[in-house]
Amino acid sequence: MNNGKTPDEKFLEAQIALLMDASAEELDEYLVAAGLDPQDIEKRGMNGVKGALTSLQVAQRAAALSDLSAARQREVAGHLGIKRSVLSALAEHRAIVSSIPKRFLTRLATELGDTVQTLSLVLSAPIAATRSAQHKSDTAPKEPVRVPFEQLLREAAMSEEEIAELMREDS
Amino acid sequence: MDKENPDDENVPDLGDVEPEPNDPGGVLASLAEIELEIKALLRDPARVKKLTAIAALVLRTKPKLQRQYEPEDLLQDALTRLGIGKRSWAKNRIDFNQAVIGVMRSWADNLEKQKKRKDVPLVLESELPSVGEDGEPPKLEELAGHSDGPPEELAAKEDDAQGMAQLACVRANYGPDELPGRILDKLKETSFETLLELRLAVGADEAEFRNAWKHIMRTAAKLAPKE
Repeated sequence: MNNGKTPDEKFLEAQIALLMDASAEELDEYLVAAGLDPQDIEKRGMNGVKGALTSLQVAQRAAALSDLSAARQREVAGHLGIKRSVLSALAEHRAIVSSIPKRFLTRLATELGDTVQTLSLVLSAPIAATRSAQHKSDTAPKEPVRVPFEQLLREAAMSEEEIAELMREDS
Repeated sequence: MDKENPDDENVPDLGDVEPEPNDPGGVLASLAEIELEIKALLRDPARVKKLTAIAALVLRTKPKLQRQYEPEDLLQDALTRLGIGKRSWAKNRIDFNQAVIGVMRSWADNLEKQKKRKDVPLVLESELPSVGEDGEPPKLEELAGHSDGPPEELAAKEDDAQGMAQLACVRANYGPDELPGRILDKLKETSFETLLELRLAVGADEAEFRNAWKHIMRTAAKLAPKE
């Protein structure tokens, strides 16, 4: 249980063994003795498990979005009326999520088979490394920053008409 | 971890590197198997309660971390790190509970060390004495041997002291013949494979042993370091 450990490590390991071996009734007694509310601990732990599953889902969806094939990217971009570079920027999480019109977010979620909530979490994840930054270059890559969605559209040289249509909130 | 949210400044980056124990014979679980195990926890609140309580005990040994990190955060991060493959689970060696507990302990250790390093004040060159006792400028080797060494050295010394502190403080609350004190003495002196061995070594029956541990946990909770 505790070879070569400090006294405090042995102490912690003994308590861990005690809790893991305890029956439900004993466990609650130990928790109360340790100054912990058994019901509160259970509730908070369940929230932790749910949070971990959400994080996993987001990580998986983020990977799926960044791994879209070029053909599929073209298809999705075509359906949404945006250039492929805009979709790539979204896949790299370079848009400020709150600046994306709900209507566009809903359409993108439908295209990708996600819920709006999951997609929002995916797009809010830390900025992914850009493809240019993954290659050797003579100049150091610039730190990518999040920009408003409308700026992404402008940087992709989309027309004012197209931008106005994409930024429209109502359906 | 959304950088748009200022509340996330104190949230640890799950991408941080953490040394993985080298286990050449380990049969590693796939990410799908780990996800199934995490989902199984949703149907097993008793197990979640145990793991969260253990997270709380682990955090009590990390005074800096526990100011901004809750037991459920530690459990969530450990599960996430396993689920995204930042940490592995050698399923032929240990069960999933042990894997989660192991990750919670090492991740908490890692974060506490990071926080200690950030908190160690820097000594500017201008703050060092310009002349020694002999009126000569201090020699480089003397500065290098100064007791306020590099932050890592300081943190290691603190760790050594802390590794002894909790058990000793709890032990000081009991007389030499009191059962909780004898349990702690045995625990300190010897290595046990199981709690049963420890119980037999102190010659206590099951009920006495359980009650003594409740007493110990009550004392430890009162003495838990707070920052």
